[in-house]
Amino acid sequence: MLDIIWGRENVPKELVPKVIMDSREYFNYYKTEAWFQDEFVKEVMLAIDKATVYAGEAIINYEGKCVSPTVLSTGCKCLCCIHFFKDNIFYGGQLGNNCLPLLIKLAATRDITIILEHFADFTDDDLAKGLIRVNGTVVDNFDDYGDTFSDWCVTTESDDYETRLRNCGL
Amino acid sequence: MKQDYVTVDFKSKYGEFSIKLYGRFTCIIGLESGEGKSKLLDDLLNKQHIKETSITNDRNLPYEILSNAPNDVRNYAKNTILIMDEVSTSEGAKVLDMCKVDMYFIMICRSMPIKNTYPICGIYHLSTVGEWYAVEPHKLKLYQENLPVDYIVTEAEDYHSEHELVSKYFPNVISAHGRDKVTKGIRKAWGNILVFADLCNIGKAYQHWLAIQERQRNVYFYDYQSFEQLLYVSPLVQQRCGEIYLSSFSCNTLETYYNMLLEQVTNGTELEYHHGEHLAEPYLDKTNFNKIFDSEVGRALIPLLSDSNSSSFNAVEYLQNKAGDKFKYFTQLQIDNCQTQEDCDELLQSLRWLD
Repeated sequence: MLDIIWGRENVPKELVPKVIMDSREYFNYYKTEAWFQDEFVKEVMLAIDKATVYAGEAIINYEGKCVSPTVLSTGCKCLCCIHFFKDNIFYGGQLGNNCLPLLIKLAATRDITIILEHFADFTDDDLAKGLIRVNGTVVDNFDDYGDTFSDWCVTTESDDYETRLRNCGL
Repeated sequence: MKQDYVTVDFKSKYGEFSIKLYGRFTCIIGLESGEGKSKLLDDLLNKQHIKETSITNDRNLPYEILSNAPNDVRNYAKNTILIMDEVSTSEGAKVLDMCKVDMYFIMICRSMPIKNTYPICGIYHLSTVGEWYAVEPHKLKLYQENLPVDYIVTEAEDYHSEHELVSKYFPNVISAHGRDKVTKGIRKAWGNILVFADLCNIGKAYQHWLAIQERQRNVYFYDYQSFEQLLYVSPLVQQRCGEIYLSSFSCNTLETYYNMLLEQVTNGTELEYHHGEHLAEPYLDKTNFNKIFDSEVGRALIPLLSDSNSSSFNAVEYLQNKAGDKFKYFTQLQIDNCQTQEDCDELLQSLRWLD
């Protein structure tokens, strides 16, 4: 299942230490050669960046040039981190719409929690799979999913929003 | 009225583009991963010293390129242009501090940072073809004049602001009760739907609205900055109250700017306007129809609203006239279901139970 937390200010205090807001440096620091032999990582790299593995950590990009994995797109890095760091909560703002089907594919195999602060446009087919949960409730259609986003946006206009945001530690 | 902007020109080995900064916050967004946002910032940040890139603006304002929100935004001079990547991953407190300073922020992002207002004219899309960048204006589908409309959805509350005005001339008007509830309002309508929302304060709703339009091809947004802009530029206000010469940069947001213009220029007159309150009578006087809508901003509405005015039965007005104070007991659904005078008379019959 994919659990969505709308807004970083709504992350429970006890889970804050598990949150990784910026996947870019996390990926760059923790990646290993073994990551690039993983089938899911290969699938992500090909789907998002049109890149393939040459050998070790050497990547062939969409132009056929050999590049470092540090130049992979942020969304690609974020998906890889979500795949390998199963106990962490990642910031979904770094995931483009083209990353979402792959995220749902992961969510079919285990529980994942992400924070969102933008309207991530899941396809209607992915929504219908019933793998997305918001506040413990499954949302399986565009309207219900959109309503959870709208309801959160309304809370960001409240008088205490700024205080909650400053105090959340993220 | 002078809506100011700063033009910023970007030149790199992989393309040239210009953007206009109409407000304090401008976003260059990429909906997909791999579109080149990080690469663009990397090119701008790291290639200046070898003269491969240049950034210029028509007001010679200083600029800085940052990979995240600054630790202390007050370290930069007033009116500095700060170009940043992935601002939303920065600490929330830092992002909030950005709202409180007189600077221009160009954010290369996907998730628009919180608590900032974005005008539609301050949203650009980034795409790359091979190594080449392209930056285009927003992709929200706007209303085309003479397009038939079945329902109008307003951001405003029931019988306030644009809802109050448009209800005078169009039979099927739904209040969404707020910008972030516009999509719920759209669901109550069908056919061709025209939405009135303040596009100078579009915020995070932008991507949600794009997704709605992708699924429902018949939803259009009216091309105006705000309802206050519509009224301010109208011949009615301009002729009776004049205008104020004020730069839009004197206000933090365009929403505040247009609101202030209208409130100040009409203060003490029969057209006095206050945000959130009922409109003064001259705005609702049907003999002033052309004086309200015959402007660059409102002209596209004339064929739509004057046709409705002359030929369609206005259920809302009929019910208001007949029910008087008891009008407040009708639900929006009951009002929407009244298409003819017979429907209205049947609904009015239900009020006799209140006597």
